[in-house]
Amino acid sequence: MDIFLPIAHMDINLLLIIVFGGVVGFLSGLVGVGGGFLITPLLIFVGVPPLVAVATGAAQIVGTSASGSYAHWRLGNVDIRMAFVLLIGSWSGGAVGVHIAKVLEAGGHFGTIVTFLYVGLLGFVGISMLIESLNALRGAGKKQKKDVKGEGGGWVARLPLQMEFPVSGLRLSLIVPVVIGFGVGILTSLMGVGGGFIMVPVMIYLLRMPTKVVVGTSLFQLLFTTAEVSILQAGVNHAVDPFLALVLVLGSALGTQWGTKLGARLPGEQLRLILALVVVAVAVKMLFGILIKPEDLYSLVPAR
Amino acid sequence: MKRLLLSLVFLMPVLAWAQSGDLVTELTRDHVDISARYTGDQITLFGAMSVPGQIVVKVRSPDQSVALEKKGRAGPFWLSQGKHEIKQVPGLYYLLSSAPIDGMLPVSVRAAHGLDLTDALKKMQTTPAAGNAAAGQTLKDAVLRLKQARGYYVADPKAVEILGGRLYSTAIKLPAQLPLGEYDVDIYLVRNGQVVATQHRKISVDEVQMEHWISGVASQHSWTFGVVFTLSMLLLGLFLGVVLGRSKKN
Repeated sequence: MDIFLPIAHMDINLLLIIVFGGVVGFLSGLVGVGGGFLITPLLIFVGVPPLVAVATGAAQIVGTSASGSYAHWRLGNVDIRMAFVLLIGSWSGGAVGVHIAKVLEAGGHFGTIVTFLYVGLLGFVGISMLIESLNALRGAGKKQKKDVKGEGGGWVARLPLQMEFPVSGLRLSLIVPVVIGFGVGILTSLMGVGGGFIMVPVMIYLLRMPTKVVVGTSLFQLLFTTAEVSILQAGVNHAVDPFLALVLVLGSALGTQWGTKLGARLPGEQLRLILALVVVAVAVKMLFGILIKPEDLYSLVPAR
Repeated sequence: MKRLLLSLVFLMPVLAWAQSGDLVTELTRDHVDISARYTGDQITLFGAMSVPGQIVVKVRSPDQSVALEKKGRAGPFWLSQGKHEIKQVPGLYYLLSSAPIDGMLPVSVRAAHGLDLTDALKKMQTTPAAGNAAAGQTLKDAVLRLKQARGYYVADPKAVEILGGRLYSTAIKLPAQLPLGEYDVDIYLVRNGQVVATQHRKISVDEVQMEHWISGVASQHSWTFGVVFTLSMLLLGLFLGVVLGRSKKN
């Protein structure tokens, strides 16, 4: 069954999109990743224009992260002060990024940049996950973690504008979270990802926040960053497709429930190995897309 | 089909008195509604001619601006090297005929009526403009080639069927994605290397219901749309989380 997407200006198979949403929701329930980094390349593969794919991806994450954020907020796992400081950074990053996207799209380079960002990002994330899960399967992964502690914190601790973050039990310069947020905001505009995969390790290893607070806070700030980017992409670039986003949210809501249930029963190392393979496969597919000579050097794309 | 033939039988006497070339044409439908479930359409055009001859049907959609993206080699990669806005070209251009058109009409007549596919691109404008005439021709060739490959520009010399020397019919097959607006349908009766009669029809293609409304709102009130839609996604997400979460516990 096909539906016509009013903003993407194309027909698409409804079931395919529900399945995409479902698979991404399933993985996110199973492994605890946002999944935004998978939905954008999948949409581009089936012919959705890159800018629409990125913008709609952001809108979809708003829907899928809303209930999770709410749950964490009720449990008191959100460091509101930290989230607010991060948001100052990511909102300005998002605003800058949306305009970068507009300029790149006008010059015809948006698709290229998105492809490179994704090949780099997915390649890096996928390979490190692959190594990590293979190590874990061999039972060697346990000892490595503690080496990281002890050093670091030197120059970060000497920065001006120090502030207390009582929920996380930290005293920290404002500059650090604002800069990190800024980077994540730009990524959200250019790639349609929430940035959880960067935010979580940064919070744990660089900011030294307690793990329990990290997940809730990152989800909370991600919700508001993607919401801002979704509004801006619709306003500036007219690129958010409502039908596409709606179907994706429905699919991923179902997938998440299913994934969470199954995730509780299956061994984690193997799950992470599967996800790592999926991520690497997507990166390789995208890389081949730009390495192989196209059949026709010219292509027609919708004018904006 | 039966009804079609029946109506043609009634048309015949009308034509009997027309000594010189004359045409009668009917369309099974003169409008196409684009809804979310639209996946292509087919309209049958049929009619009668007063004298035996060949039939050419030209279907032209309104102009639709597109962008032509060029890829080129950059190191090991094949990347986009920028794009040209292409303006003043029809989104769709069909030349349906009962025989090859270049065999039935001389070049000058074909050019006068726009009966070559290249005529679709006669007024093509590119921004940024191509540097010289050769580059301009390369762009035109690319647009024509891509439009033909996707089935938007079609020249089909077997599409029109002639029955008993006087009746003709053809199917106008519209693709799943097509430009909106009034389509011009011109029917030409060709005899001895001349166009002896023409007829003009219109097909209107419009978005209906929600689709029209949504694409209108999303482009004219883009900020309101963005805020309202994003908020509703947030609420939907919350709602789904609560509902599905609750059913899980029970």
